[in-house]
Amino acid sequence: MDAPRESRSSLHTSCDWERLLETQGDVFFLFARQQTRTEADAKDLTQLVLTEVWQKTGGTIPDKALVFSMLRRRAIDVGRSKDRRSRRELDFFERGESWFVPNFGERDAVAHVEEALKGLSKDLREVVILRIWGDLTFPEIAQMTGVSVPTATSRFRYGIDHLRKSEIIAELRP
Amino acid sequence: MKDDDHFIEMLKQMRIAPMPADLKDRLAEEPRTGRRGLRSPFVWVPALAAAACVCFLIARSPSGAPTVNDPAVVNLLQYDSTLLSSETVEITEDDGVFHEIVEREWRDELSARSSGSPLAADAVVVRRERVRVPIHFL
Repeated sequence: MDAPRESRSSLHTSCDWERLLETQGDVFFLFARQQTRTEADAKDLTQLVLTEVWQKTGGTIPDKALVFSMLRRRAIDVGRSKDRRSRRELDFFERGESWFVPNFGERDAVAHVEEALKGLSKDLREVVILRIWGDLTFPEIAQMTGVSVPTATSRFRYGIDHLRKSEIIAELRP
Repeated sequence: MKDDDHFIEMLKQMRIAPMPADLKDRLAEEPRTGRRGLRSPFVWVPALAAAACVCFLIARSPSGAPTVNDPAVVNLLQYDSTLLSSETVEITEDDGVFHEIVEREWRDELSARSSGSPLAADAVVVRRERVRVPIHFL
């Protein structure tokens, strides 16, 4: 009895939903992680925004920039409502899961880049993530973050420079 | 600059950690979509009636006596209907043709103006309907 329940259109959108999660779910979650203070908040935020965007677009794959933008906006709401989060939960975040898959050849490099990335200010970190892993253009990033294109570009350059020159990274370089 | 490019390439090679399994589970089911623009005939009637009542009340004088413009003529300025939810409640088969009975919840929003008043009234009505929809197989 299950088969007849699926009409042509529902099968179509279900595939699109899976494709969205498969191709872009990880980077959306990475961005949500750096926008929130706990792992649990990042999960809630990702679920909330993906569901909301999916409903707003009527079941079609949304523009990446739109999802990042909503993650950023909703994260601010989440942050405001949970400002008095307990220390226990924050500790949980500090011991949180890794943001990247360890590469066994360069295991330390990945871990240290991640540490250096976490050490960047939020303004720099979000531009670096959106540009490198989110694959957004500088005009898109500028529009989302409410700054000019040259500011977004210089934040990216500054962030990269900071990562590259960080002592931890420098130690690993030949 | 060359160093930067090389470093950026190295960063791009880093694989992002996958979403946690519990989040994947939470997102396993595709969310229901509220498609705009799916309208059935006469869906605006309840909302229009509500707006008409509002306009009529606005148009009446404070003493309660009807004004010269009564009965007020209501002009529909804007109408929008949004599908809030859609749930299949039953599947039927008739001579090899499958149909599903779908229960839908709509939110009808309209803006109307009465000839008896310069004010416009907005109305929102949430209504439920059951429709029988043929199922098309791939």
